Amino acid sequence: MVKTPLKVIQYIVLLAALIHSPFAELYFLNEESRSLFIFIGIAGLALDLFYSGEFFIRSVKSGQHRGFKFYFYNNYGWVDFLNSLVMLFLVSIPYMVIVFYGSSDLQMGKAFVILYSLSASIRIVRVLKFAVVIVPENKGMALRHTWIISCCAVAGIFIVAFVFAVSGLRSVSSGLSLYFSALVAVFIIRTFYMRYFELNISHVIGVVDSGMRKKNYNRIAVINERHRDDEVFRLADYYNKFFLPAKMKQTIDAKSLRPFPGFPDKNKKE
Amino acid sequence: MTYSLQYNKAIPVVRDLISLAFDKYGDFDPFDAVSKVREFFFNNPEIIKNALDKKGFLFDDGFYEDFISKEISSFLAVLVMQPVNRFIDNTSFDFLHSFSSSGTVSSDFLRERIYFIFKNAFNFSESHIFLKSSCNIFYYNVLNRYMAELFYRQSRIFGLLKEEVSDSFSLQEWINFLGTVFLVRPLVYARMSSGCHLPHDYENMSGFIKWVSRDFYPLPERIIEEAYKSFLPGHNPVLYGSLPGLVAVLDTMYRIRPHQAEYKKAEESGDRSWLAIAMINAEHYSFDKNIIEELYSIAEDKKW
Repeated sequence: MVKTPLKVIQYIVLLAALIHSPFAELYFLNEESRSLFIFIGIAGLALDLFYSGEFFIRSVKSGQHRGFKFYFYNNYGWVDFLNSLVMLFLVSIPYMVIVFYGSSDLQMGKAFVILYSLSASIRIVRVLKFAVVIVPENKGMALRHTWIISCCAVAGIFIVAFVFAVSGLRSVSSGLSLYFSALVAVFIIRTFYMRYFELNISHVIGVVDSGMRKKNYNRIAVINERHRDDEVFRLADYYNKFFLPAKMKQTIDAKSLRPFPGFPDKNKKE
Repeated sequence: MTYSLQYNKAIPVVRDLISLAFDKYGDFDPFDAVSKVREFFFNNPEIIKNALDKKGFLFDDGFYEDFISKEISSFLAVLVMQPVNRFIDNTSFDFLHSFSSSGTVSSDFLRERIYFIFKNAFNFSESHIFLKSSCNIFYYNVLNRYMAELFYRQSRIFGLLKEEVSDSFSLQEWINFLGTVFLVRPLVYARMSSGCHLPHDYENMSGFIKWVSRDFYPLPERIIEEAYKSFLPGHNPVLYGSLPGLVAVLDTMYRIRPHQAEYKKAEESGDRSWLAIAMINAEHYSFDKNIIEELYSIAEDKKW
């Protein structure tokens, strides 16, 4: 009961954060609509404060369970950190400083404009938060591997965006395309790669594992003929051809089928 | 007199306890749960007896075990009989008249007798293994599914069955015929394994049938014959016909309740998997490979 409204709030905030980032890049230094410029800055600050609060609460709560170290390295703590404090200090605060002091204090404004020039690349880490929702790594092997590939894809796109920003090639269009590339990459990996991984690795191992452990599970593993020589399919083939028939012999005693031994087999007699 | 009064009083209490014990093993097949429930009652007789003593029921040891065993068996029957009852209630057993001249027996009487014959088998623990597969066969609607396919495909096996049993049966009559064989099998087995002095082989079949004819009255001999042949060692379609081979395959196939699918697209369907493995083990179990092949092609097409 308590968890559901909290989850709904988290999803709404995530959606807002994912939409906010490209808008903030698109309307940065939009002289025509200063009120929109300010509104986007305040919205970004609010989102980062929300995520900072979430990070703080999770850090404190992690102490009651398996500790902060476990939370940070094994339970998306580092994603929360990047999405909260890093975004707050490297993106939202510079943005707000530029909004309110950019024109009045030249030296300070310049420093924050330089800092803010990295924002397009840093905003890409928001996509990791999206990945946490659609690829929760703690729910099985396939999701964990998909999560790692998603992180690699986001990291790759982040590096490209960062190089663009440092070398002065940063532009709104390239920033936006890289941000959307990261989103689409995570979505495609989740949809197609994960299915591929399941059918070719994790589910095949799951079938073999269930067949070995569960008494009444005797389903044959489907073998991908194109990859028949893969280690996993060689194992599945052995399981299908040797393990399951042997298991059947052990589970169903041939004597119990025709339970009166010692009488002549008519086939052999003839 | 005192015992029978106490017995009647104790029944509801013991039934509640048995029901609780079965609930505890809810994940198990009811037939597999029986041994666990029995173990629980027989390993803790003092606790159960004390609980009953407090309510004023007194048992001596022999009476306790007999009483509990009977109650567990009848509870199991209630638990697993639902699909069997549905079959018996909805089946017209008029086709049985074509095997015998006892045309005067009413359908209702036949239905009652078949119900009694099946229920009676619960009293013989050695026949539980065949009761289990018979119950599963009705639970999973196996006969309706496979017989319909064999019938419409006019398969080779079906051609042989027509030659051996009846050329004029409709599909429903085939389903009813096979269903009746599965209903009498557990008791036929119980009678085969206890008390009969005759060795069980084809030559002694008619002697056995005469010996048990009263237990199975008014069923025609043909039904008991088919059930009997399905237990005989080896596989001999020339001598026994194809029906016992088909019965043996279906019986073995549904001895264990098939596991639910867990890995979509990475695993084959339940029946298809079982039949593929059975093909490898066909010689070990003396299965008729032609029957397995035909059932496999049906399971493959229908994704069963």
